Amino acid sequence: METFATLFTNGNFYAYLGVAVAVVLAGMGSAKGVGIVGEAASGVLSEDPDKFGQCLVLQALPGTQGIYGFLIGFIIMLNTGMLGGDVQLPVGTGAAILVASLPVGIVGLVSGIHQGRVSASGVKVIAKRPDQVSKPMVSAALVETYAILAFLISMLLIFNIKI
Amino acid sequence: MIERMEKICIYSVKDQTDDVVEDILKCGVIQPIHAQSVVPDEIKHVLEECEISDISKEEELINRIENGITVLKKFSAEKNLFKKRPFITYKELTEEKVISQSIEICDKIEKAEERISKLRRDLAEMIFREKSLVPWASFDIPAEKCRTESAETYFCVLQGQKTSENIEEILSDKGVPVYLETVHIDEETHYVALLFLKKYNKAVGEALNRLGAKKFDIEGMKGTFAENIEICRSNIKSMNSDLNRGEKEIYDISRGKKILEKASDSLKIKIQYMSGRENFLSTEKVNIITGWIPVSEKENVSKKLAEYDCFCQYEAPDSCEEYPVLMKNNKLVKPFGTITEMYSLPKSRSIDTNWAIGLFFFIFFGMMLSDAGYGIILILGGLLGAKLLDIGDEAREFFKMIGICGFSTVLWGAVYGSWFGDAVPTITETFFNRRIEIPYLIDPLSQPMTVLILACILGVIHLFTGMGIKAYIMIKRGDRWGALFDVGFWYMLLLGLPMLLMTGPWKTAGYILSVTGAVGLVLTQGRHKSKTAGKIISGIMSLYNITGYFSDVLSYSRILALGLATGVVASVVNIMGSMAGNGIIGVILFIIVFTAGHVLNLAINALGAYVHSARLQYVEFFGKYYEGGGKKFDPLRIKTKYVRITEEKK
Repeated sequence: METFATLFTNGNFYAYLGVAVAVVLAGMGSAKGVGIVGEAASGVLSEDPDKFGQCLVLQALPGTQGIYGFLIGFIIMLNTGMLGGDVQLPVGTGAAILVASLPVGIVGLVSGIHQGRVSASGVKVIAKRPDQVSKPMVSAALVETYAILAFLISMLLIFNIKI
Repeated sequence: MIERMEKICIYSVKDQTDDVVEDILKCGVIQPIHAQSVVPDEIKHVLEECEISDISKEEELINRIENGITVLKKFSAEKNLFKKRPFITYKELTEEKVISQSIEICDKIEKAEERISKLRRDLAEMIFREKSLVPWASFDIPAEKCRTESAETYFCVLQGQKTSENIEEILSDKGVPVYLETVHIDEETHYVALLFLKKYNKAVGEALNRLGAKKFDIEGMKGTFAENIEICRSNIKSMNSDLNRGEKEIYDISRGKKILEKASDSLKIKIQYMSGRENFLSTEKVNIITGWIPVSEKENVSKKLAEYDCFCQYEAPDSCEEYPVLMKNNKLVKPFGTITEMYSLPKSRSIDTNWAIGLFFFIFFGMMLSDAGYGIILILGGLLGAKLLDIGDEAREFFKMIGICGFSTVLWGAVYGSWFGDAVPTITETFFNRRIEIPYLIDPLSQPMTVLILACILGVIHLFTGMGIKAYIMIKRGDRWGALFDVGFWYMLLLGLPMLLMTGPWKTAGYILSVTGAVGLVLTQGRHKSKTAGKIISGIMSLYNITGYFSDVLSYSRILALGLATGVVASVVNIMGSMAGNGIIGVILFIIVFTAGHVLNLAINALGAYVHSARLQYVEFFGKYYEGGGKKFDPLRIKTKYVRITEEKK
């Protein structure tokens, strides 16, 4: 039990947890979002396979949250030297990294799902008015704004944590 | 610039109407409107609506031809992305013989198709028969000898665990003498021949039913099974060669595909101009054709129509009447018209702001993608695509736009020092042991605040331009004071507030500006309300909009975020590629990871840059001034799918 308790006073633990939070939560959001659009898209594709390109574009839109989460995770790894393997972080720094990764993780999770739903209903536009595909794209981009803002804050925070 | 439109009214003699309409179609600058709305009321009662022409025959023929084209497409393997549609003159396209030839070809195709599909059916049947005969091949008694006056042979198929012994068991219980021979066994199926006396017919039938055996019918068969299989096989062979011959026949016709395509386009033109007639009015001897025409084309059309005995009259629209919108811009701005069009065309009495949309889209797209290597790819892809691909006008403009935005991407990539991310330092360090750094002006990774401030400043300029356009529209419409109240005061307030953060005389100036602006807004923003209380409340509430401007400006921070995302993913790709060191395997891995990674990154981030640059225009910029809802100018013109029309050769 002693070893388990020391986990909470170990800065590395928090930093690694931060990487996990950013990548896992944002990735979950995107996976769910992209999945929803994919389901909607195959309905259209079964009718008209030529619309694959347009559907693919809409499906790619909710994928960005996952990338933002991955980026934050990667930057944490670069900044703390995790890639080299030799990490020694004080508890305060580790905890700060964990907290800094929360925005991109949580907002990525929620916005990914919601962006997926907006894009999925945009797939209907492809079915009926393929010339108007850019309008649902912009609607989906409005949802992504908040993922971008969260990503920005996470990034600025992590850049400014002194290792 | 939005083209001015006028109404044209052509009175043509009935005999010549067809030629006149054909010429209008060729000019492609008149959008027909219903004549009822143009003709003065006094003469309306003498006019009749032109009878709607029957186009069902043409449509049926088009369907046949399109079917023919789909059939032939299977046989001509040519599928070339860079293939351009052939040029043809209008006269060649609309020749009578194109249609008559195409009908002949269609007949041939349909006949051949019918024959082939019958052959296919027969072939399938024959193959099935052959397959069902094969298990019995070793039973060498001819079918006609299997039956005598008093004896009968059944051929039955037993499935599951059942064998000939089961039959024997059941029948011997009933005392029926029977001779059984198992001809063939495969997996779980037994093929059994069974000889018995005709008088036991019923008992045998019941026994077989109980075991679920299927009887193989040899009614009408002659000779042994082996002989029959031989016959089937030779039939299949000859059918296959018939099928090949039939397909060859269609292949021979496939050279006629060009004629079918021509005929299809020619019929479509015919339908277009026949259905254009719905809008005409007519008297006994005259047709009245009305439509919108851009003022700049008036002279051209008048000259063309002078060949006929017709009278042509132009009328400017009323000052409040909306007309269809056609935007005319120079080569550099025109491609960005697609962005405006995607949102909504401006009202005909508003102004065309494609230059501003183009300029800011160009800057924002470049900052968001911000990689010189990707920019070069976009320039090549966009401009070459527009030149080499035959994709229609709208798609071509889009490609051009992407190409133009590529230049901005190269520019910003160079500012950030990003050429395929940090490919140059990584490659030189991994493979040549000497790190070569690329010079840069701003490094977004170490100076994110610089880029953020830059993005917000550009945002402010963008927003102020939008407000300026609003003021311009108001002044143009004679509302000078409105422009000062709604735009001028906001300029003062929004400029004054950040100046408060500075020191010395700047601070004083900022103080004066912002207070003037705020007081001005409070006094004027309620001017449309009728009651005094309403005026005061609206005036004060208008200051609340300041949070709107604040969030608008912050929205431009996405420029930094997307720029960082491109750069960092690109670097990640390079790092992953160089992980295997500088051996042969390292080089191979690097090439694979580098290509796949950067293609993916370019695709996703170009999409992001496009969508978010567009969003900044639609939400932040258009929100300040834009008056959308114009109808697109859609003239009666030749629309073809397979060929392109050129000028007549003289």
